[in-house]
Amino acid sequence: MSTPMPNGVEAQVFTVTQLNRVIKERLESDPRLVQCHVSGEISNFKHHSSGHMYFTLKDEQSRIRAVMFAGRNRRLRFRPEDGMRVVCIGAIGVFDRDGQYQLYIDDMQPDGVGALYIRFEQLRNQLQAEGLFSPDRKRPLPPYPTRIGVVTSATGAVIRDIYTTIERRYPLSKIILAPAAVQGTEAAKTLVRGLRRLWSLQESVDVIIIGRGGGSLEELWPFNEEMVARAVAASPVPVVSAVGHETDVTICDFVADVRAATPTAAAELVAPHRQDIHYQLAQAVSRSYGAVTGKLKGHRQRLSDLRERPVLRQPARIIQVHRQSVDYMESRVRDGLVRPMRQATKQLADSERRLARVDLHRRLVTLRYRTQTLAQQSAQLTKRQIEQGGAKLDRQIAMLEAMNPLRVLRRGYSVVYDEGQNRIISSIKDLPPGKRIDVRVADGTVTAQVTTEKGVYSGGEQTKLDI
Amino acid sequence: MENKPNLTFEDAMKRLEEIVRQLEAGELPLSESLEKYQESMQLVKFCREQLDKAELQLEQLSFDDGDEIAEKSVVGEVSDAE
Repeated sequence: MSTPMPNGVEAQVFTVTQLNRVIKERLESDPRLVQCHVSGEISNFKHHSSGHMYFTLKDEQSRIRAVMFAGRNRRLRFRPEDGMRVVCIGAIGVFDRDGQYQLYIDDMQPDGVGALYIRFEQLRNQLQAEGLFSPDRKRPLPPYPTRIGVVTSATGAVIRDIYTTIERRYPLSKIILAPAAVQGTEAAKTLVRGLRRLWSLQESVDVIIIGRGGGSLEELWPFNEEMVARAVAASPVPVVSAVGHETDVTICDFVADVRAATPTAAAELVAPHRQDIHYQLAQAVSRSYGAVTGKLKGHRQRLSDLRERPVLRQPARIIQVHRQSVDYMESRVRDGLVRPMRQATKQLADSERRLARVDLHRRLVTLRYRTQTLAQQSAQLTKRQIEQGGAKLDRQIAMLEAMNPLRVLRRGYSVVYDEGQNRIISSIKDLPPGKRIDVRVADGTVTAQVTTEKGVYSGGEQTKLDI
Repeated sequence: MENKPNLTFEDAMKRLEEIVRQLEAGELPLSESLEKYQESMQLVKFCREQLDKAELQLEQLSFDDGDEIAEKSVVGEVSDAE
């Protein structure tokens, strides 16, 4: 069906359905509309029982209908409500039946926060993967800090809260404030500088509180900056993070050794309460006293136990014991010495008694008689022996007389000796010429000299018969 | 002992805890126990005095990069702030 138009162009007539389809195709094929970012304010928000969300996005001049299906909105990290400014990612679609185009939303973030939120998530995941949140890294806080470093604004309520809290609890310490900007673009840099200056102090601090009061995510943002997180992680002394209120969580909180819900809570964590210390001191006093008196009591008990010993109670017993041993020794000595003596005495007495029984006089007479008899016998024997010996001698003298060779000389024989009468000469060979000889005859001796030239050797030995 | 100038509160508390532990362990000879007991009483006295006479100090570093420390008390300012 076509209708001639004034300008002569033949116009195409669509059915409503056809028209909506053309529009739909046109809109849904436009790359700018397939995935577009839209910022606006939520109004007429309805969360249907089906789970889908229906609302209108609007700004000062205009509005557009929007839908976010249950499958998508389940992942939202916030609860959309009327008046909330949001940034949406989605596509334009057309709802044929009503001839309505609307925004089909894939994701949505509160406006201004969304980008930061993504950075937060990314940094948190990264640092977590690096292990910077590990419980192993958490250090205990010093029990009695002498110097407490604080990195925060010099003019905010935070330092005042910390000061009054520590003054009340533990005025022994000293607070060293490293002032820093706690919001704005320069804040992260000044926070890091504040930490570094506390580290570089000649007299170092024992613990550091870093923080600020509550605020929006943007205001707290410096505490989510990577440089701040890494500086806190690198701190040589334990760090307490106290950013915002209870519900606010920052990367700084994850990295710090201890997270405090508020600055006041941080001060309470960092410093002990003096009441507690007084209590501890009282405990120490009573424990020390108890220990020492217990020890003393133990010693006294031992002492009195010792004094109760019989030895100390009755010192005379010591002497008794010795006396006893003296007695014992005495009895032994008696056994060893006195008894043998007594025996010896007894033997002596016995001997005396036996001696007394012997008749000494008679024994002497008997012995004297025996002695006389023996002497007479001996004298007779001797006399007889002498008489017998004399006779025998006479016979032997006669025999000797008969055998005297000199009696032969009386019959005219002589004996020739060499000079000096040392040797009897019996051979002519011993009588060379000139030899001096002694000649013995019966009544004396003369000395002679051989004069012959040569004697006559008759040979052989002279026998008795030759004479 | 009492006149140790450099004894910090923390050192004193640590020492005190150590002595109490030793005394309670009961391993020390009697004469040493008595000495330690005396020392512990002195430490308690020292700590109590520190607690009673202490006044919280606050020192503020300058905001610039300079390393000099501004030795000014900011307590007054801080209390008046906000």
